[in-house]
Amino acid sequence: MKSLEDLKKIRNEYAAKLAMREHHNDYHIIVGMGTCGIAAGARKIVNKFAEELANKNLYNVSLTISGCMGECDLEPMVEIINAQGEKVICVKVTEDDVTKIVEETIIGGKPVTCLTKENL
Amino acid sequence: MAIRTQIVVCGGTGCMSSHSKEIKEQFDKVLKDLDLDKEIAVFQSGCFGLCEKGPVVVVFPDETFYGHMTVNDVEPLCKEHLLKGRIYDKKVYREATLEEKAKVRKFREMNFYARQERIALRNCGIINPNEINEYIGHDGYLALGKVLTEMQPKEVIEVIKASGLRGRGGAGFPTGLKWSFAEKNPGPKFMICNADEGDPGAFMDRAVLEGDPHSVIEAMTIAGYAIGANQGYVYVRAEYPLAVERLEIAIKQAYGYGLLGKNILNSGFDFDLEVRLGAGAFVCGEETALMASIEGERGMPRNKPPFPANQGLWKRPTVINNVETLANIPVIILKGAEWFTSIGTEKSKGTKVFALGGKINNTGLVEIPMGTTLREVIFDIGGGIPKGKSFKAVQTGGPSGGCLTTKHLDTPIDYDNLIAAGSMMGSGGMIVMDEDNCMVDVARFFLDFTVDESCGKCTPCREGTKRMLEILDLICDGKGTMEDLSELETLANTIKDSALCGLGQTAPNPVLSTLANFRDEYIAHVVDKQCPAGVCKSLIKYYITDKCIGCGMCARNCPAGAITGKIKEKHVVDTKVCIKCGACKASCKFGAIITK
Repeated sequence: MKSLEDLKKIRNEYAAKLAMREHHNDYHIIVGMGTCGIAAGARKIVNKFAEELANKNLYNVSLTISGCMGECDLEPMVEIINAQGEKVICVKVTEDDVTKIVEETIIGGKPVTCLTKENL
Repeated sequence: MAIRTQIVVCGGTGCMSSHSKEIKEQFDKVLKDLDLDKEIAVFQSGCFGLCEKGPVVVVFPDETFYGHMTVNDVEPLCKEHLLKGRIYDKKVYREATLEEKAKVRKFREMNFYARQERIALRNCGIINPNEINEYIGHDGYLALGKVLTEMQPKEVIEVIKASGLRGRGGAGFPTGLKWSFAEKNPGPKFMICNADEGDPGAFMDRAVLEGDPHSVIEAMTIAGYAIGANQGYVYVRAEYPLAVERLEIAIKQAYGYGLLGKNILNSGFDFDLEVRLGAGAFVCGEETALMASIEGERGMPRNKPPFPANQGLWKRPTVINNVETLANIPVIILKGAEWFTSIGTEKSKGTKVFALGGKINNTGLVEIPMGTTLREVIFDIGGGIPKGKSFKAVQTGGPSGGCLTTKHLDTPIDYDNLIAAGSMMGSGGMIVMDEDNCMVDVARFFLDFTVDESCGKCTPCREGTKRMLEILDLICDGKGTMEDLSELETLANTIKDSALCGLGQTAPNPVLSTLANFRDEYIAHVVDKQCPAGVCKSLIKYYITDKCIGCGMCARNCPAGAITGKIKEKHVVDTKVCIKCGACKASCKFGAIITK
């Protein structure tokens, strides 16, 4: 390593990796992973989220999984909570929805537009 | 596939000794079996601090804290938490009280962590100590970069001076002032890190070296630049094999990145760093003895002055800083002196790490802002005294410190308040004692330690502490007199005034402070020939009270055959045969056996 710039390059690369161990408040995404969720493909959804967030360098989001959310025939279900604590529960989420949520809401800051129990 | 979850397995010495290495390997295996190894990463960190709950595993980003993990818990944990999103209830951490128990807290919101402010321990438990990139990712070596590219050595010293940082090893000497003394002298100069941590019960320096070795390397390089030293030594005891191993890996990585060695970051500044192993003598933590040991001499202190800043290692100007002191330096450089002075009290800035031990629920490492009260540390963070027993005393500062009692509980902790209360900060050991501890016995324990560790160079320490120990032995045996008590005090004060180094000068402190705060216990031993706490064997006798239902458990457990009695009738202890081991009292389920 020859200069401070080289050091900062490594810093930025690894700060991203470490971000998961910090406290996040911007967005919290919870994917339901009960047996019903898994059967409906929730694991793919979780991994799609992880991939999208990593590809787009979004580290202000905490992505976790939970048990059954209760509406088993609407799985995979994803709960999205913003910094103000407002919740939206998306139902029958597909991998395309994941891309849309990440681009429109997490990056764009717009409200989530997805299938919910109400507009189904 | 991207990593969605990171699992941190504690790799501190405490957790390692309860098989955290095997737990980590089991995680690797199970994740592979469950086909999760591409989504979930596992690594070992340094100490999390809550050693009581070890081995510790924390799952991020959920921040779920699992304690007392075993190899067999790994598979169910993975299946529950990582596959199905349910907390593995069997080992998840819950607070002690009923109302707090209901909800599982994130680890940073637990009572133990929420009140702490982690500066020296900022990376411990969060980064992989064997991975320099993770340290850099947490702003590591940026302070060094800033110092080498933007600051003059004198400016660096001014920042440290302005921060009010004082040495964390015991005496609390202002760090910036120490640096400025050495800076004025001509080179070659040396920079030493004192990692010879010897106080019984203190392990914060080990935790920093094991969990965040690069912070010490970075700080030493900064210090070397500030004082004009091109060679540094870390003096660490060989009794810390894991710390030595991780430090050596870290030094190698820093050399590999050009953050040690010639022309660091193209600034023209050279700095080399070597590890020197000590054999674990307590006195080698004293700076002049430490330097003698590095030089290859016998580890014995010498008179000061000349102070090391003028004439230290190989008679050259030398600065010696403690591990925890150094761990604060990079953060101070990055965030500024003003930020640091906003934490703490008027004369003691920043935070201090304490090693909580003894009769306390949450044994472990805590880092608190100066000015936090003893009560907050012991009862709020430490979780209070186990088994509903009552608090009696807390020993701070190890064998050089003293015992503080309930009347000191609301004292804000800082260097000056602790000295005013008759103890000292020391390196930050904090041993809590309850009603079952005999204070005379405690004083004897610490004195026994200093007698063992005295190097023998000066008479007051070599002979004086030994004589004091003999008097304490007499008192504990019930053979002490009131004259012995006054002689003990005279001896203690004489040694305090006349011993050569810090070890001898502070060795009588445990005796003096217990004499001041618990004189009645000494008098009970001398006059009434009784040990109120029921610890000193010569002064106690075991009795069986009427609560005895005659189950015979005590008789079966007595190794000396001193207990007799018919089944379903009250048993009796033959005090002539009894060896006072306490096995009967421990085995009795009805609390029928008492000591008096």
